[in-house]
Amino acid sequence: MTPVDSSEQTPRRSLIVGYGNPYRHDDGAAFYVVNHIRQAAGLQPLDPDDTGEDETGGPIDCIMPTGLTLDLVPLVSSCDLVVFVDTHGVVEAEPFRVQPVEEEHRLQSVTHHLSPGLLIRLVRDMTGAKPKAFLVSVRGYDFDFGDGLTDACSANVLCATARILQMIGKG
Amino acid sequence: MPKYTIEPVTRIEGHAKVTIYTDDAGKVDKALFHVNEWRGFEKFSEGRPFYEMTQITPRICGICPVSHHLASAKACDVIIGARPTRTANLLRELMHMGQIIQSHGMHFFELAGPDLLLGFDADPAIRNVAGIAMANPDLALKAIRLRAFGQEIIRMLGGKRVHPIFAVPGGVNAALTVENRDTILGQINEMIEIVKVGISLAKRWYDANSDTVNKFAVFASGYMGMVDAEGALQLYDGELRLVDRRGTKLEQFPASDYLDYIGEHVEPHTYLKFPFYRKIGWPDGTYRVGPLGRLNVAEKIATPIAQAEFKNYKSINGGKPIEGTLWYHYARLIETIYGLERVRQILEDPDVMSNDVVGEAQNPAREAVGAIEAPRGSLFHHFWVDENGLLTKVNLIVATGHNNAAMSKSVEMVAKAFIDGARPSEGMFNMVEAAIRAHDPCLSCSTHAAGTMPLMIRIVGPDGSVITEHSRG
Repeated sequence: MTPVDSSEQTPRRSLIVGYGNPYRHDDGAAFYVVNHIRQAAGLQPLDPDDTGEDETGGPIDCIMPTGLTLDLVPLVSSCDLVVFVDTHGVVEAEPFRVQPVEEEHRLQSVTHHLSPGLLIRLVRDMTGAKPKAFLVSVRGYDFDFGDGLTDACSANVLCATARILQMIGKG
Repeated sequence: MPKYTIEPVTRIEGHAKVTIYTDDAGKVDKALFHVNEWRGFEKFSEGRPFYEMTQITPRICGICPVSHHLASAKACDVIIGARPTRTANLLRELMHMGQIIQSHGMHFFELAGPDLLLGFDADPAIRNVAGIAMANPDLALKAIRLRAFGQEIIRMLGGKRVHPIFAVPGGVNAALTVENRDTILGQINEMIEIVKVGISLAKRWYDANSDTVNKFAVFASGYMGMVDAEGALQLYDGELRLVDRRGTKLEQFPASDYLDYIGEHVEPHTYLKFPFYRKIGWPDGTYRVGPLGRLNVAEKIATPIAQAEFKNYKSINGGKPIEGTLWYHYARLIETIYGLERVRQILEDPDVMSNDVVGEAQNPAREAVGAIEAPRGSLFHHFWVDENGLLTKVNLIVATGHNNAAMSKSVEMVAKAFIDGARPSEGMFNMVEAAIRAHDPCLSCSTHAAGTMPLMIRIVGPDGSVITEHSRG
């Protein structure tokens, strides 16, 4: 498991941004992470078709947008800490990875879905805000069509959730 | 024959491909626009209860779900024989204006804007919304606010910004609150100012690029759009008007009669069908819809700021329909202003606050058509039900489909006008994409039909010659 610096102060306002497809098994791991955190934060869990973007503004916001787009700039810029959550399928990887999100300077020609690094860079370019940002990527195993996670991915989701709760001062 | 392929076409909704064939001298010989995704909503809706269509059809699209939601609701009104109350119609139209504002705003500032503001031949890495955000952060933030405003109207009425739950057969499921009304009203002036910035940018661009505008897919066609009883622009409800290239009225008909006027042609290279005006036939009876089509059929606009711009629009071609494809952008901005002004009109109407939001069911029907002007053009939902209200047949003619012939023609004209086959550049190919993009196509919406799939597999050798070809359909 990736070591994390826990000496940071609890952020005043945190944003958890999950992305992935809950209808493709483990690709939707972030959806489950987001809902676990929503529960811990006293928020209603999301349905698979909901994004949670319509009910933001609390000390901890947990959303599951259909993709990372420019529309997120105002919300991201209003937070001190942003944790992006996705899934990866790297064989023999640890249950989840945590890595800081660095501003990305290479632009993409297709912008229906921005990378976390590009979004963070655009937030700074457009608003001047520089939230601390991390990417938590959960190890997945089955990305075929269908609901629900594999048992192994479900276990990884719980580990990743516990780590994120620590990061936002809820662990 | 050498060929170039542009895939995927970017900054559109959905997936498409363009194939450009050149002769040995490098001149463009022909170009084809392929829509290479396939959905199937018409087919898998069969057997479902009709009232589910207000929730099934919006899943066709995440950009214009409100159009599908409302077109389905209108068809369902007819099936249960209920006329929505005036309040219900005002609230439905209010939600629809929210969608027009967010969709049109996104298209101009985020999808088309990079071409106009950064240049057709700008580095593709910056020729996108991220490039706009870096080049002009204030403009990008304005664009985000405009889109969020339209989405917020949808959310206030239907609970969600995307895929709202609001219209029901015969009306809507909730009244408007005073708080929501006042919140929306309080932001309209700011939003109008944002769109005016867009209009100002567009006008400057047209003035500085008149040569390009005048040779960029300028062609004759028919035009179709909805109008009210006075011939004014309508986006929510009215009759469909078809005019010829000179603006002479060919037809005006209620949506329920659309099959008498519109036929559909199929080509093997694309999943998207080609609607045409039956009396003239395929291909001469093709027409354009969407902002350019609507402003070309309308005689006026019933809101003051949009009407002032409309007069300017009409003066561009001496009162006749505008044929240049790039003028879609100006027409779209005028409609955005109309949407904002119409929101204010609706919210200042005392009836909008009534709780009388559902009409009584009286004379049920087994067949029904619902139509609306979606952001991209005329949208028809046609349902047939059995005695239990289960759907036996569904026909959807979607805005982007009406423009299929126009997009194909635009692609070929722009390829011939701007591509030098001997020295092709990325910027030239982007102009071909821009010809499609100007129509703001939603290919996810338009490829819903099932049946015989016109699938083609072509194997091309290293010298560009076709080695073998298999097709069915």
